[in-house]
Amino acid sequence: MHDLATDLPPPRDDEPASLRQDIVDELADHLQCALRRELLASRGRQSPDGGGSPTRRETASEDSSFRTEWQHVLARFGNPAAVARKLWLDAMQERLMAQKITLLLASVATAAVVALSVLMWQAQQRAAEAQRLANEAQLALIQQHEQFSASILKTLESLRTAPSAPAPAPAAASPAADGWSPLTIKLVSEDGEPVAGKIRVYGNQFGGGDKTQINLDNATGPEGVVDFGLVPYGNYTMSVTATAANETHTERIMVGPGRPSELNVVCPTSPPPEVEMKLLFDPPKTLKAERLQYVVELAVVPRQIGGNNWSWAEVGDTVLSLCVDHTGSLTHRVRLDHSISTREGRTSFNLYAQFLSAAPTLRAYSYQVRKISVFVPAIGYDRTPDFRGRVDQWAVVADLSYVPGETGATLEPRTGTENSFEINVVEADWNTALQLFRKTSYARHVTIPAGMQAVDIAIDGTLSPDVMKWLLPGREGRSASSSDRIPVDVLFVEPASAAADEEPATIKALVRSAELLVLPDPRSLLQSAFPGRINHTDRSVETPGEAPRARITVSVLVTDAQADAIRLARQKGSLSIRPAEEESATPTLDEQVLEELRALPDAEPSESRP
Amino acid sequence: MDHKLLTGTLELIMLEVLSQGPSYGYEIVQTVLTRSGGHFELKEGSLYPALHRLERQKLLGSYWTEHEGRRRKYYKLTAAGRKTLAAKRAEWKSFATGVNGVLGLDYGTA
Repeated sequence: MHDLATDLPPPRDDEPASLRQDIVDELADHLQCALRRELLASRGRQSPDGGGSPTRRETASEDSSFRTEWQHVLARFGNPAAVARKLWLDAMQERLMAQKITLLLASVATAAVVALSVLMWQAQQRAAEAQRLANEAQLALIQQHEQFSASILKTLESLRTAPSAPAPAPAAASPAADGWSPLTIKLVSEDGEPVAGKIRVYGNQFGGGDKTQINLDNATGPEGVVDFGLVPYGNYTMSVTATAANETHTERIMVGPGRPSELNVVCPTSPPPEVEMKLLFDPPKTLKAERLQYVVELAVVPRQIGGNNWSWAEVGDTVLSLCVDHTGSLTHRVRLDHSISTREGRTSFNLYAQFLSAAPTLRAYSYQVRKISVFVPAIGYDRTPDFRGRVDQWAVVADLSYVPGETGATLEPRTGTENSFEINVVEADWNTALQLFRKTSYARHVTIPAGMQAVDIAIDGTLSPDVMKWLLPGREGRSASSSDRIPVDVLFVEPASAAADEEPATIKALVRSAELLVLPDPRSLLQSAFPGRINHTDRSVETPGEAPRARITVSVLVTDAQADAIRLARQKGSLSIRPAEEESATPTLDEQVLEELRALPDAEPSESRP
Repeated sequence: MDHKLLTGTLELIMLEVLSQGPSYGYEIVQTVLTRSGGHFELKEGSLYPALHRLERQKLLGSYWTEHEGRRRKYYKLTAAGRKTLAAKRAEWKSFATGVNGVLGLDYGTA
């Protein structure tokens, strides 16, 4: 019989150990049984008697019969090798399928890994290329920087060895260390005489950044010299003020190798002479009667002395703002400023002029007109220390476009002449100014007559609980040490000619609130004492203890004599203002009161007094 | 006889033979041949794939014995095999009744 095991597929590691042998044994058993059946049937047909021993011929016949019967067995069984392979494959089917799936997944995973590797490799190649380009660019920058440094060194070397180079500072007197150089500055006149002044040197040393900022400030002696000693190399700003001329000059200097260690600065010895100027405006007929005032901003053109620019120290690089009246006279130096206030939820922007000094004098510089504004006097009060008693007025300003007249854009006043310059304004701007006047007519009726002054006076009183509840909701009965102030900024101005709708609504509302205060009417009280008009009123409520206290601060116009009396009263710490008991009674601030006041000792300064 | 008819009922026949008791491949073939009166002539080798399939389906169990120096594999019906045999017998009965009715044959008296 043929060995069926050789017809099976090659052995596998995952096949059961007895699978092959079981298949072979089972089929072999079947074939043996079938062959025996065929052989028995064949013998029955050939020797019905079945006796005697077989001869040689009979044995050959048996071999031939065996092969015939075996053929019969195979014909009925089929191909044993094919059956054995089918049984093996059926038994291994699940494992073979699992192996195929595993192989497929492994192939897919391998393909994915390969694809990912390719992508990573490509990305790495691109990154390497980018890095290479960056390195090349950086190398080019370094080479460029080296070339630049070499050229700088070459230039410095040529400066050091040049025969025309200025002589370095005496090494014995002040030996220069690496990165440091001596610096001496001398102020001289055009005649070579020493000039007194102040010198400031400031800036950054080379490569030091902000941490090594230099700021040297010193005044010269009679010889006009400042020795700053050793100064680190650097680019600095030198600012020189010539004291006698009150003028400044600024320039850039460099301290470093090959640079002079001693500088001479030619300075002015006296200021330019004073000049008088008039700036004449020609407003339309309607506005001419209003006697307008103007704010003119002039830039000072520096003068040249010894090749240096010298400018007015008080003005510097800024502009000179001057108030000009309707006659063209310069009445004040002013500073335009602004404030932002919020009242009743509305924010307002107020532009106003602070008057710094009266009757300014100008120097004989050249001036450039930068800006012109028409100045509308309105009501207000100026608490600045520079208050001169004349212009305690806020300003409403409208800008005007300037048209250079015959004198050109630059005004050049000369000494000994009448320097009147006509300022031409565009007609449309005059119309704007006219509209502004009409809008603010209610405020322009307060003027301070000659011989009068504006003075602050405070009146204290006690509020009733009901009024407190109304003024300070939720704070009734509360004792507080702090002060709750309610600024009101009431303008007790009754417009004489303005239309009612031009009066600010806040005035009416706050005047009504004044009636609730348990105080005499401050207007009648004060107006009975002073013949002026109340300019300005502040009202506040303070709660320093259990009893709330109200304070009304008013600004009134008083005569010069009354102002003197009030100042004297403040100095003494006492002022009694009593309303007139009779209609015909005179104000109480008479000579008798003043005499009593003068007799009192001076009071200690107190914060509670205005 | 058409072999396709026999193939469709081969599993039913083997389960029925083994319901009489454990048997081995050659004996199962001889029993089928004897019981069918020599009508079922099939390749004997084709029996084994069917037997192995039924064994993997847990319808048959098996065990080995020693006979005249050879290993012999015996098959026996499992509990699941008995349930399947009952279901297939009922199915065959319904099928044969239908076919006989269509052919005008009286199964009981033929």
